[in-house]
Amino acid sequence: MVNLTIDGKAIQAEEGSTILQAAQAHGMRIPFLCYHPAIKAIGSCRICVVEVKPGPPRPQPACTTKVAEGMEVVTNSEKLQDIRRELVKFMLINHPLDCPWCDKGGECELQNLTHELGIAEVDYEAVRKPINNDFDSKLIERYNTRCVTCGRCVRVCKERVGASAINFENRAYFTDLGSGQVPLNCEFCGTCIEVCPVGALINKLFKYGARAWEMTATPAICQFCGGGCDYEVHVKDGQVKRVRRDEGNPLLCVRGRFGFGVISSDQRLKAPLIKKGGQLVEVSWDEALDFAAQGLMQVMAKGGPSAIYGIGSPRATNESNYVFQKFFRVVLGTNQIDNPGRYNYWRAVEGMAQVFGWPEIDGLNPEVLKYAKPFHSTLTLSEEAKGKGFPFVMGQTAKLKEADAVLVIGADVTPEMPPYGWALMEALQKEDFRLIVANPRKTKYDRYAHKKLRYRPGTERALVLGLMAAMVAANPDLAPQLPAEGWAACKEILQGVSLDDIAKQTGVAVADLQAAAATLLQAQAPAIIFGNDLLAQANGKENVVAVANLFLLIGQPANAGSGLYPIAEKNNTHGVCDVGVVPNLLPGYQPLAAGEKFGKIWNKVPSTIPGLTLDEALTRLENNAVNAPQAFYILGGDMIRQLPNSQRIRSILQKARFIVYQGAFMTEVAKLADVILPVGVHAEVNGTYTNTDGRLGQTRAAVSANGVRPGWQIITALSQKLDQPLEYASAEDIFKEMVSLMPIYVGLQPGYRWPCPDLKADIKGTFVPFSVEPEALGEGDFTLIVGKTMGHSGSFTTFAAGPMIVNGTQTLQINAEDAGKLGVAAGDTVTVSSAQGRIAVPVAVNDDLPAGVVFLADHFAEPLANSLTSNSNLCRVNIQKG
Amino acid sequence: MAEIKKPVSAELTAEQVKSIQDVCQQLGPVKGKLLPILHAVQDICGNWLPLEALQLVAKELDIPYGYLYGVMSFYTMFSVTPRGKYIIRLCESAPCHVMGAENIQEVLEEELGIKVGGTTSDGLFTLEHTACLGTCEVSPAMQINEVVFGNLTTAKVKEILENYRAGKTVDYRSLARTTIPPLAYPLPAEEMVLFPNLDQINPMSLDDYVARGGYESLKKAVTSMGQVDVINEVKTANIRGRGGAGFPAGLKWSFTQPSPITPKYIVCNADEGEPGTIKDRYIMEGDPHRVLEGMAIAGYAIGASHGYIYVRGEYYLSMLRLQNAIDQATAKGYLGKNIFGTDFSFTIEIQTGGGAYVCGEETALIESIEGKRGNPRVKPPFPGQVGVWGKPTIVNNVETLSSIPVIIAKGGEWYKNKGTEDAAGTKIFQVVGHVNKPGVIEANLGMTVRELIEKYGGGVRGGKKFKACQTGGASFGFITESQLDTPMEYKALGAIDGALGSGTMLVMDEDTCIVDVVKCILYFFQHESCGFCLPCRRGTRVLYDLICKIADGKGTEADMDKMLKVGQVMLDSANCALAMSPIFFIKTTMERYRDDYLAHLNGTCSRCKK
Repeated sequence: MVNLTIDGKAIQAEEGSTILQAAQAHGMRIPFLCYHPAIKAIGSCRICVVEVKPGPPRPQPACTTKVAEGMEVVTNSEKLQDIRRELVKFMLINHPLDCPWCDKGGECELQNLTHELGIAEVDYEAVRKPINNDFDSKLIERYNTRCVTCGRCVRVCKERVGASAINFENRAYFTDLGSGQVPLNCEFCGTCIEVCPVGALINKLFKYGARAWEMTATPAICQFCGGGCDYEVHVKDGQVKRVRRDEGNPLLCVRGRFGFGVISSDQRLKAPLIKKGGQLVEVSWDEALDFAAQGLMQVMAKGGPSAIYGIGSPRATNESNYVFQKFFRVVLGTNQIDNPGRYNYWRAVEGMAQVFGWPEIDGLNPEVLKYAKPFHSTLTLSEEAKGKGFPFVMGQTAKLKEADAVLVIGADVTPEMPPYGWALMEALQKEDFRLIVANPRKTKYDRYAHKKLRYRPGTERALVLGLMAAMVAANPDLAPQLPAEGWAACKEILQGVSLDDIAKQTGVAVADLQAAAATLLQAQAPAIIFGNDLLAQANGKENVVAVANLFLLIGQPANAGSGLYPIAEKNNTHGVCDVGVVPNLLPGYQPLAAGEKFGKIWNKVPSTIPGLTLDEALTRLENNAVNAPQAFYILGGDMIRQLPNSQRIRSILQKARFIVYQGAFMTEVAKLADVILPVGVHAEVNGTYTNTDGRLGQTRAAVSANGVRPGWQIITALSQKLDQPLEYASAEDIFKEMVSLMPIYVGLQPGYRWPCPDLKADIKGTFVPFSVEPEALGEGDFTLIVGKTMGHSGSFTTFAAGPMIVNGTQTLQINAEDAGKLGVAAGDTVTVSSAQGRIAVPVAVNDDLPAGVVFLADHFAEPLANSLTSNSNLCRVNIQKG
Repeated sequence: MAEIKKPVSAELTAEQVKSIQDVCQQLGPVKGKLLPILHAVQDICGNWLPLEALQLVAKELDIPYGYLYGVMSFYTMFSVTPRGKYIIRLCESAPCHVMGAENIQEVLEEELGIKVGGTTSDGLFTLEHTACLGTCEVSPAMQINEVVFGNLTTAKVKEILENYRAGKTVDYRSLARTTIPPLAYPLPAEEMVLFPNLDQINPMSLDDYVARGGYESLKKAVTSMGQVDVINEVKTANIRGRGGAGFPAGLKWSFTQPSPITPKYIVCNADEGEPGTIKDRYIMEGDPHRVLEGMAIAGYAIGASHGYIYVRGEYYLSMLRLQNAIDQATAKGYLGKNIFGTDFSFTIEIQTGGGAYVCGEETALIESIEGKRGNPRVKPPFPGQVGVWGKPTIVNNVETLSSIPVIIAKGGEWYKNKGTEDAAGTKIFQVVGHVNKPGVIEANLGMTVRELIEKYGGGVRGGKKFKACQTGGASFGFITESQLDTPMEYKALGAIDGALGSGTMLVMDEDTCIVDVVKCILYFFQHESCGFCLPCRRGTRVLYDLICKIADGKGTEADMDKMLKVGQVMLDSANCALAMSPIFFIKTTMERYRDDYLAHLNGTCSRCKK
């Protein structure tokens, strides 16, 4: 600590902190404008100048001047106030008097400064700058007339977002904010708006929507990726007007900031529907629930409980998903449940579990707390409590910046998981940090990568094997730092690997493999991020086994930042798995054999016969197999869009005798349902989500659900209709029961993550052999990758205006050379065909794709990318003009 | 500057696309080559940067277009609208202004049939204004592409244009030097530090340089002296930085030498942009190896392995001579790996500016080397700790570094005995404006201003009476006749609210209106402010608009007070020296030439009405 005085008051400040920070920490205000806590201080507005002794004769900016022992700081002398007044007057020259209709009115820092300094007159004049406003860009409006050139937007875009889409233009008095005199072409995250102290950057969706003081703010959790950002929804007259994050972390992505329109979307399902005479018609809740109960009972009467299959939701709350699995296990009496993560994130779970084991926590205190705060775990650690399993090698976003080397493999970070991207930007501020990006196509972080590995689609395992082999070749004495079994055998295999063969298979040069291997090997805190591109392949689980093996070799989870970072696709992808919406594990990854414990609370011991996986269930129905499920109870989503081979999924679901769809939108799957039960989304319900880190987020009802219901209430209502009522008073109530049964959630509370950091861990792994056989992709001239794009999260955000403005149509992305060969230009329609189907789609020329590789997004209903795929996100296709 | 520079769209030919891609692939991987790439692309596209070219560069370098545009638009040498085959840059800064540049502008506009900013319909000429060209010894001056034409008169302008129209252009590479030789060599050859080789050697010949003892000092330093020995020698010499601020060079080096952080860099500041300052060009054009040798010795002393020479974009001949010298010295092993068989390795590259005075400020220069907008950094930290690419960096002026070889050869004591106690050694002095013989000399520090003006500058031209002299460059105070006997050193000039600065003296005769000159200088400052810090961004323009108001006869004494107030706020709160300067010439002119101001307030300035 450093001792200094500020305005005569002796204080202590942390070494390395600035005068401004020190003053703020002691409740002393120094006015400022260009400073923002989320960005590096630059000292350009000079409003915060203070007198410093000992120091230079002239006042110094408090935001950039570090505290020093014995320093005497004066912040409020008449001279300083005079300087500030003159500077704010400079700023006010030609500032438009449009405060009455400027959205910033009431929360404008320039207004506040002017008021604070008592400026009643601006006695300076200067020529007017030419008007250089931008009304053409999507979602964001720019008023250079209001801009105070503080550069917060430019800096946040460069430093934190990593987009650098805006910059200052020209110089001197004519320095202006801009995007190069063409409309913005960026990620449209809108963080620039958030940090703007004045109304120079305006959110078009919010414009004229409300005055700052008219809204009430309620904390909620974003639903649009696995990051689970906490934000506030600002509501006026029952409508969400905007969402905001806290000042210290203003980052959100386009769907986070502009996707809240899903709540008030015209396309929301507002009332229950049942199928009558082939038509879906609106009915009362009671009638719909009766209809659903009867339909399920009829199917059960013939096929028993296992004829009904439940599909949980990666968007629904933990509480809804928990009640859902309990409904199946207790009310119906079957383990026939799964969640769509089966085709994606669950592969990460299983792959990591194969190498590092399933989570197990032993030695908790036997007592369950009777009184815990809402959404706090009721279990407590004892001295001897210990944990093991893969969660202990999983990284967390907040620590990712502390990693010293990150390998991103099979993930397009920003569209899939923006918070990982922001963490990478923070890590990149460190000089010795190294980033390796491995992907078949160019992604955003190529720009920052120290090494880029451009491999052929589907050769991830070969690439990983090559990296491990290169490590062993470079260091024959190499051994994992973690306790590991099977290293000797693994090493022998690695020693037999020919890097030339790997290079041939993957298309990555031997030297690049060696360089990347060397970087990872040198790292003290290596991290591996992997995502959809790798998980959505048919061999996704094996891909994860390969990645987990690599981490077992190089990982040092004791060092902050080092870990495996799988990308959970949606806000509760992690949670839906945690709370047991899988056919073979009870909540908390506990074996079915542990059912006794659950029976005590549930008053019924769940069956020990595992259910079918979603994949198996669908295949059985497809093949009319004995014991195939005949009815589905589906919590939201659109499997037809999201799972490979849409036609197949559609025709299988069409075979079902009865479908209950509990969702928010009329998706392709909903259209096949016999009953539709409309459900509330995040800002309409109370409950929790578990994000990709295992961090618990609490969402609160900020707006009225207007007739739709929280998911768990619908399920419990249905249980009543089936005469086996599940009874809960609230989401808190459910949470309390749930966590009492889930040792993995010990110590958990909103904002915390599991596993509990105080838990001692026994980390060990086993090297698991994996094949490097490339995926069978079918025939065709091009390899199609179906994946995620910026702006959308599954099908959900396609129902919101904001993301659709930025990213509203499906396009086939193809590089210029391939487009040239096909004789097509941007906007031309092509027919893409595979063994599964064909679609007509407009072309977007994008040189991020290598030759022979094309890309489609999986978000859009029309044309449907997954009508081309077979069992993977990759397939071979032919493309024809027209 | 005031207009919005919207990039014009133009389809690129296949060859242009290929050339741009080649340039990007060649220079792209080298850190900080954005400005050289933009210069090259501008050449490829015919003197301007179409939108498509900028977008292609952005794509090839994987830099967002919006960011790239922001960098590009900082530098005035780049244009996003079509320009002619020949770009005529007419200098508009004070030395040219007092010599009648406005008349030349009229002649050019009439001859070409276009206004400043326009392009002739035949696509041959674009007429532009430019801040100081650095050729004030031949004011008024203009530059056509790479070639400077000075001492312009109506007849001369007409003749030049005629020649260019007829295809009789000048190849700058064929010129002996950009302008005229030094006025004189007051010191005998063995007493000179900076100019001993001028006109004695072929500047394109390494052999000539070596034959006159070139690179012997480097050899001496690296083979027989320790790093600290070299620094001590420079400390003994007591040479102060010649860029204008006068910080002792040896002391600066001694702060950086102990830093364990590597790599370290030497940056040679050759962004000679201070109006009236024309000295470094003489060394770079006439004796380029001296610059390199000085840099290499400095590099050895602090433990640097690489040097940058940041040359202002308009100094084409300097860059040519320096690049030739670098190539030759590298080929012969004076630069490169294991110099003179020692462990010391040192390489040098040239980095180009793009028309931004502020890049002469050392941290702005560093930002520019890194391919960014030339905003000065907030200090501390100083470049000695955090410089180029965040590494310890010594930035020295060309003249400072060029003094080093002789200091090492003859010793610090020898050097220190020249000049005055306050300002040791020799210096290149420049006298420009209303004198009979504008130009440069190398002389011992301490010569009086009067001696420079009268003996070497040939006195005030046309038998007119002396009125004022702005000392040190555009940033400092004006002195009067009675102050001319002040010796040219830091302390003495500072005591009369003047400054040694870069060692230039702008002389104004009795016909000069001081308000008119101050207006010209303030135009320069509001044009050259980087726009980073609020006091300067807004203050420079407020000052300019106030002086215009006064010059137009619409001002009051309150406006004069307001100028002083604004200047003081800028001095108190701005980030870099640029904004701290105006107060000095505003204050000294208001005190010493108040009648000129009052004449404008009363609308009775006879000088401006002529």
